[in-house]
Order: sequence, then C-alpha cells, then structure tokens
Amino acid sequence: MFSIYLLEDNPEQQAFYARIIKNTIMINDYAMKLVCATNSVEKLENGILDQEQGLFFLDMEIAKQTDAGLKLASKIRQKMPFAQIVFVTTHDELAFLTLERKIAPLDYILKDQSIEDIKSKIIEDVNLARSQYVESLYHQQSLFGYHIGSRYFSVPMNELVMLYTIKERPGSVTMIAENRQAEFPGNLNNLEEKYTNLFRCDKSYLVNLDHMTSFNAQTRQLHFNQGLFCKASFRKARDLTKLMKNHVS
Amino acid sequence: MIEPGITEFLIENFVLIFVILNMNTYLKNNCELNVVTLNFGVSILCAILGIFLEDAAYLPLILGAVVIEIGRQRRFKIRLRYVNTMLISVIIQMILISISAYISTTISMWANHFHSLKSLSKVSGMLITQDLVIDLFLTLLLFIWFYHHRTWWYHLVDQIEDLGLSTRIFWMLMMIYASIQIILIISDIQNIAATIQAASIVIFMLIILLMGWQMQFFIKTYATQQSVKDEKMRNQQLHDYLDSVSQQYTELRQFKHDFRNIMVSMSELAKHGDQTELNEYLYELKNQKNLNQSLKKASISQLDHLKNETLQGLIVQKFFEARKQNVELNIEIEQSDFFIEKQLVDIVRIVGVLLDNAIEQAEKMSDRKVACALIKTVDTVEISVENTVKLPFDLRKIFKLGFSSKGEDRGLGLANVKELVDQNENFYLDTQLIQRKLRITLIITGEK
Repeated sequence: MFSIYLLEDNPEQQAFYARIIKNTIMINDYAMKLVCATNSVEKLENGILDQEQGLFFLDMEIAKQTDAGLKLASKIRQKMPFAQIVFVTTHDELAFLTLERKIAPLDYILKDQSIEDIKSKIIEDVNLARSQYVESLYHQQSLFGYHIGSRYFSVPMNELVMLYTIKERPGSVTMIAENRQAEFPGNLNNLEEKYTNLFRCDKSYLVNLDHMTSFNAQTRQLHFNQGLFCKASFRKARDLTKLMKNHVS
Repeated sequence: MIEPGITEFLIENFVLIFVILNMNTYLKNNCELNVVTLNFGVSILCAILGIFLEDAAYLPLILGAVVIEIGRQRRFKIRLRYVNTMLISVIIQMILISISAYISTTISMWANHFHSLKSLSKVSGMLITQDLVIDLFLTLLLFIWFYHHRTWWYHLVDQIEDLGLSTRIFWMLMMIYASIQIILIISDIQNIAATIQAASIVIFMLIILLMGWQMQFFIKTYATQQSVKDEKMRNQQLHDYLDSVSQQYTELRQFKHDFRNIMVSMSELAKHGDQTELNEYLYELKNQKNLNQSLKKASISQLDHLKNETLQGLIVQKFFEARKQNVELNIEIEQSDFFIEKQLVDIVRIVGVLLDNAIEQAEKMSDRKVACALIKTVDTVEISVENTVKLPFDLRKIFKLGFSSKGEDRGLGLANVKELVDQNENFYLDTQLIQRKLRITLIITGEK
C-alpha cells in the first residue's frame, strides 16, 4: 500500500485537500491510502511509516514558522530517499532553484491559484506519484549514490550509463547518466566492488551494460546512446564476448 | 678569479637549481612528494646543461616554465602567473648565492689570514661547499619568513591576476633577471672579484627592494582605483534598478486607489442589489492588468547577503546585462551572510561564463528566465545556474570545445569552465537536464 501524508494547519484547507486526495484514490481504485492528515509537524513526523516510498503534501508555513515545511522535507528526504514531496504554499517569493537543489520536490502548489487549479494539481500529483511508484515496482529500482563533502546525491541505477576517470583529475570520478553528468571524489576500484552490476571494461571505465547499444569485438569498442563509446581492454573484451554469448543463449 | 673543478661546479649548479625549483613549488603552493622528486630529476638535467651555459645556467628554467605554460594552455596566451613565480625564485636565488659567495670569501680570508684573492684558489673546493651552506641557510631563513607571510603572498598573487597586472610584472621581473645576468656575465668576463660583484648585486638588490615596495604601493593604488570605478558603475546600475522599483510602486499605488473606488461603487451597487452592474464591475476587476501581474519580478534584493564584493559585482553586472536583453535573472541566496573564502578568482570566472551562457540561451526562449542560486551547506558551497533549453538537447556536447547550443564558435565558454574546474581539485561540476531545464551546478568542497 502506497501512503500519502498531508500537513496543513488551516482546517478547512486540510479537509479540502484530504477530500480531493481520497476521491482521486477512490475513483481510480488505486492501492493508496491517506494515512496521515495533520496540522502538526511532530505528528506527521511520528506518523511516517517504515516504507521506501510515500507522497507528502506539505504546507511550507506552519503556525507562523515560514520554513517548518522545508525543515520537515529535509528530514523526510534523509529518512526516505525515494519520497515524493509536494509543497503547498502561499509564499510566492520561493527560492525555487535552492529548493530544487536541496529537496528536489515532485511539485509545488501555489495557494493563490484558483480552487480548480489547486484541485487539478493535487490530482495530477497523486497520479504522477502513483505511476512512478508502479514503474519502480516493475523495475526493481536501485540507486547509484555518491558523496561530495557531506552532500549525498543519487541517481536511479537504470539511468546510469558510465563512470570514468581522466588523468587530469586523479581522485575524481565522472558520472554520465541519462540526463545528468557529474563529478565526485572517489575511485573506480571501490565503486566496482560496491556496484557489482557494473562492468569494468578498462582501467578507467566502469559501465552499465544495460545501456550498451553495441559492441565491436574487433575494435573492442563499446557503444552507448548519444554517441558515447569506450574501449575495452584485451582481457575484458574477451570476458564481455563470453558474457554476451551466455546472455543470448 | 677562482676556477673551481667541474664536479664542484656541477654540485653547485645542482643544489642551486634544486633550491630554485622547490622555492617555485612552494610559492605555487603545491608541495607534494612527487613534485619534489620531479624537481630532483630536472635539477640534475639542468645542472649538466648549466656546465655549458656557465653563468646563464638558470635560463633553461625560465624558458622551461614558459614552454610548459604554453603546453598547458595549448595556445600562445599563457598564464604568466606561474612563469612569474619561477622568475622570482631564480632572481632570489641568484642574489642569495652572490651574497653567500661574498660572505664566504670574507670568512675564508679572515680565517686563513689571506690577503689576496689568488691565495683563495687553494681552498676553492671548500669554498664552494661553504658558499652552498650559507646559501641554504639564507634560503631557509627566507622560507621561514615566507611561511609566516604566505597568506599575504597568495592574496597578492590573486590580486595581481585579478587586476590584470601579470604581464607588467612579468616584464619587470624579466628586466631584473636580465640585469643581474648581465652583471654576472660581465663580471665574469672582466674577471671581477666576487667582492665587487657582490657589492654591485647588493646595491642592485636595494634598488629592487625599493622597486618592489613601490610596486606594492602601485598595486594598492591601482586596486583602489579599479574598485572605485566598479563601485561607480554598480551605483549607477543600482540607481536604475531603484528607479524601476519606485515606478512599480507608483503603479501599485495607482491601482490601490482605483481598487478603493471600485469597492465603494460596488458596495453601493450591492446595497441596491443591482446584479447585472455588479457582475460587470466584478468582470472589470478581474481583468485589471495590475491584479494579474505578478509582483515577483526578477529581483536582486537578496544580493546583499553575498559578502564577496567581486562575486556580488559580477552578479549585479550580469543582472543588468540580462535586463537589457529583457531576460529575468533571479538570484537566490538563502543564507544571510554568504561568503566564499578561497579560490575566488576561478569561481568568479566560472560563474561569469555560466551566467553569460544561460542569459544568451534565455534570450531565445519564450520564458526568458535564468535562475541562479548560491547555497551553502555544512561543508560545501553550491552555485547553480538554470535556464530553459530547446529539446532535444545533448548534454554531452556542451563542454566540448567549439560547441554551443547557441550556434557555432560560441562553445569556448563552457569548455573553459571545464578546464577551470579540472584545475581545482575541490571543484565538482554537476550538470542536469530536468525536462526542459538545463541546470549546471558548481560544487566547491573544503569551504567552512
């Protein structure tokens, strides 16, 4: 069962949002449940179930504290990396980009919109969260995670294409994912040990074979989407050929 | 003149060059074991070369530094910063060895009761060792002095580069080097004794010190002048900004006035229960331009949270450039005092390029918006720049030389960003494409 949480300190609004959420679940017959609708940060925090996923509608401003929702969101993100967070707020001077970097919420709902707009936004978000949840059920989703200082970042493993090092930057790994490219401190040996699904095709490349489009055994070149390619070492090319034969048969 | 044997000459050259190279590494602040080992190897090579070059033994070092810089930049515009440190190391060492030679000759003559320089030839081997010991001792003293003043030094170097004075300093150092070299060569040809040579170099050194002092004064004045200029421009821009804000305020007041009138009329109508006219009024109110307009225009109100003046100046400048192109540049700084301590020169460059690129791209998009956020966490600083792009968008290509989504020959900027990031090992770049938004984030670790 997928859980939905709601934090809103205005009782009428809380009831209104709760009704929309419940109706959406009922109409579509989703395996979802609004487990918690409250006006207090503590209650919501204590009410979080021990699950991998959940959808949170959070009011940014609770009892005059303008960043109560934001603080709670950081905590939720730590507890539940896959949580879908939607901010419901009147605050129109939101630092969107800062929020994106810090929390990466699913959506924002601005309260100064018309009631119809708010309603359709909530329905849309419930649907979106549900479809992402279903998706994750089909493809056992795992994460590729890395640190920069104390900051933790993650990318769904199925989006990761390759990791590589360049000699100009020792001690730093470059990651290429479907819609992301990032550098972080680390080394390939440790990553290879930690993520056994990745294939070390060369001393400076660790690739996700799920993204490989073709492999040329003669030139020992692995090709990926968007014109990406890398070379396999002699020994690894043999391993790869073997691996592919097994896979086909 | 004392004619030492070739071995002594070799050893002397080696020690001096090794000291120069290490001083150079120290000034550049990248002391690591492998660099020192590299220095060791280079010193041996240069020492052997030095036998043939005699007094110009240090020339290969300077030429080498220039060539390496050209190689590193892959074009002829070199970063003189590193060549300058090499020149400084060489000059300092040349002066120190001359002084030590003078001191050691004096000591020897006094200790052995010699009265002529010729008699010193007998102990030439020992003399060179003595020279070197004194030289190393002086170098050590210099290192200790430098260690206590290193922050001042790094600040000065950054300042020189910021102000674009590197070229001038380079030529000045080049002149000093050439002069000392000429003194050495001529005194050698003319067989002038070390005493005179040292005396002339000491005099020369005093002049250099005076010049250096003047130079520092000049740099300070120049910096003040520049900052006054910047300040003036920023004030002008802020003035323009305030003008536009006050204009907005006037409009708002106007609207408030209208709104009151409408309210009064409406309450009158409501009293009489005139439904149709009331609806008409409501309709009119709904379509009021000012009511629908968002107040949240791009703002730089948070910019005074940023305590780095250079970075603040850059962002203000870009803000107004964006306005000129009718692009909204939104700055987000949550923290009330945001301050970056280190590597500001490179950070300012990177942010400048990122903003330029984003603004130019935004001109072509319908939303005409760029967002820039400065975020500080426990131990990192993040600077994010976001703008909308046309899909399909190839993330892989943007950092390649010569590529840009804006058209040909424009991609140099982001390639430079990549290079700058690679040069600083605590800089990390994170590029994301989220639906139609391209977000490039520079993450800096090691900031408190």
